[in-house]
Amino acid sequence: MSALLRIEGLNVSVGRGGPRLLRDVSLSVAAGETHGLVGESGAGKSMIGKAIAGVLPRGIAVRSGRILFDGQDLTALPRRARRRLVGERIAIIPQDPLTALNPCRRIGGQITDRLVHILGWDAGRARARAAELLDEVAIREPGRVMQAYPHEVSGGMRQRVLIAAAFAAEPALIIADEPTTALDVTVQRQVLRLIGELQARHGTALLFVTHDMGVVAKLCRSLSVLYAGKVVDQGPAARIFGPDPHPYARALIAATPRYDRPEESLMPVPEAVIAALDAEVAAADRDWTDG
Amino acid sequence: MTTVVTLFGVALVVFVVIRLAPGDPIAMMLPPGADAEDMARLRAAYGLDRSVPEQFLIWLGGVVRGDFGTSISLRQDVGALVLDRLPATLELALLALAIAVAIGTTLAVIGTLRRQRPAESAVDLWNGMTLSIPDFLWGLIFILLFGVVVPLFPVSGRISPALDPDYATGFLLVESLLRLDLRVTGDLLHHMALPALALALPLSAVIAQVLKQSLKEVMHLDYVTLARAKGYSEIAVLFREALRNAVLPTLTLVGVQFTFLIGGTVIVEKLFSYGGLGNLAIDAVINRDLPLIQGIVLLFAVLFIATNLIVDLAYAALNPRLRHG
Repeated sequence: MSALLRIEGLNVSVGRGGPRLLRDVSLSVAAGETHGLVGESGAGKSMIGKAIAGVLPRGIAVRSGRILFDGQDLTALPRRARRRLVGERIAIIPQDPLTALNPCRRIGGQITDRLVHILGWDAGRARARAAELLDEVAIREPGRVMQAYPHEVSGGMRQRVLIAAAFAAEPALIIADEPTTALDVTVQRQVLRLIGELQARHGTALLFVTHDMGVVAKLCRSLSVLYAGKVVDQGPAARIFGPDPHPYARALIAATPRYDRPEESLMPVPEAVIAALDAEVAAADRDWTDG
Repeated sequence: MTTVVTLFGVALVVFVVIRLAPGDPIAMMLPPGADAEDMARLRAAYGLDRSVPEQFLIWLGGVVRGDFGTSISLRQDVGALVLDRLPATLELALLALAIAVAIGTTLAVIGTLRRQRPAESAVDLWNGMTLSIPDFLWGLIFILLFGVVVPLFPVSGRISPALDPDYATGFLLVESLLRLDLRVTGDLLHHMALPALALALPLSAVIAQVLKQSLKEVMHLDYVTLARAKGYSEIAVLFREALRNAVLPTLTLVGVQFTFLIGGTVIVEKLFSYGGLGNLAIDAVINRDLPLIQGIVLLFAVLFIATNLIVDLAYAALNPRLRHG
């Protein structure tokens, strides 16, 4: 099975010779598959998504490695071509629905943007498609919502709008960057189910970034566990959630809240595990020279 | 209601202050050697022999009925004089504002797109320079450079006397455009270019700095990053997503600065002998023409209040979060 997205030896750092944020990250996602990216805050999960979409913050850059999307190395493409490819085939579901919509623009336009301006659809067709998508994400009055400004609808509804916008252009890959973190628990489950349904229906590959092992267990066939920008464990979910996981993955699973067994959950990661990981990261850094 | 109170306050302060200032309008009117009796007679004729509160009440009574008194030096109705000059000043100030917005926005956009590169430093340097030189000094520089050394522009008047059209309103620029009388438009713009630019430069620097700062902040926000990921180029992202949000904080400031600009017309109009309110104001002060000064200051106060009102309305129009409030 050829991968839709394959990342090989990706190194991302702050400035030249500055601290590394991603350390030799390799992973692959097949078409239509869901791959989970888990790790603690600051482990570099979101950074991978930003590197793929080419929207790394200023001063942070890919130093080495390849990001192969459908056989093309995104890091080697000229800027304009890359922007176009990403615009047409990759979409992001952002973390915080409250800040990810432009407060000064109506919702409809923010969904149809990509269709009209990147894919060149005419406005009427794009609007019809947006209404259809809003209907798919279970928004009852699509027409009214499209005319509304972001502050006029709830947080959960805004996240649905962003999901609709992400699926609008039928992308091959969607990067979901902790799409439920900013939502309250009851809405989280609906949104997750929604993403899962849409993904299955549209055959989209999903790179699912989260710190919640519970979510990964439900959604992902395979996953990568990150620590300090380094992949410390990777493989099918069945193995990682199986009887003999990596010590860090086991610790993360133990740190996940369990409402049914509260006394066994929310365990801090053991210091021995952290020490072993830190030694591993330090060893990787010794061998690495900033090209 | 606030407006009325503000205007009353302005009227009161100006009325008292100009009467406390040294200089006697009557002494200015009469030839040297006029005797005390002549002066007393004239003083009584203008009501200046009464006490200040009494004078104020008489004047205020007139203002309420739309009578702003008679100019001492020009012997004409103050209301008519002032309204006659207002269009010239408004056109100059608005042209200057348009130039300032155009220059300021362009510089802000360049500075944002080329941030942390030499172009941004150049923009900052230019802004620092334009901001630290006041409008009247720019006026003098322009007169010297483009009026004297390389005489490209006229440095005096509003329009060439030969062209002076017989229009229905005093808004010559607007009316000439509406009538498609482009020769007059061209001549007006030719005359207005230097004073308008002198007034515009300091304001353009303020706009450029504030808008650039505000754009930089907006360019980091999530929805802008998301727009980049949608495949937009940096310029498209800036104009489509960021600019409108970044304009909001700038707008309030532009309102305040525009009132400074209107104040700046006083000296700049004098420099360029431009027949507007500012020029009239200076003559009125020199001649201690009390009723005329009062009328002009009151009109300036109305302009400031109107500017603030327009800014508030524009803010609400641009910011959907403030609507249906």
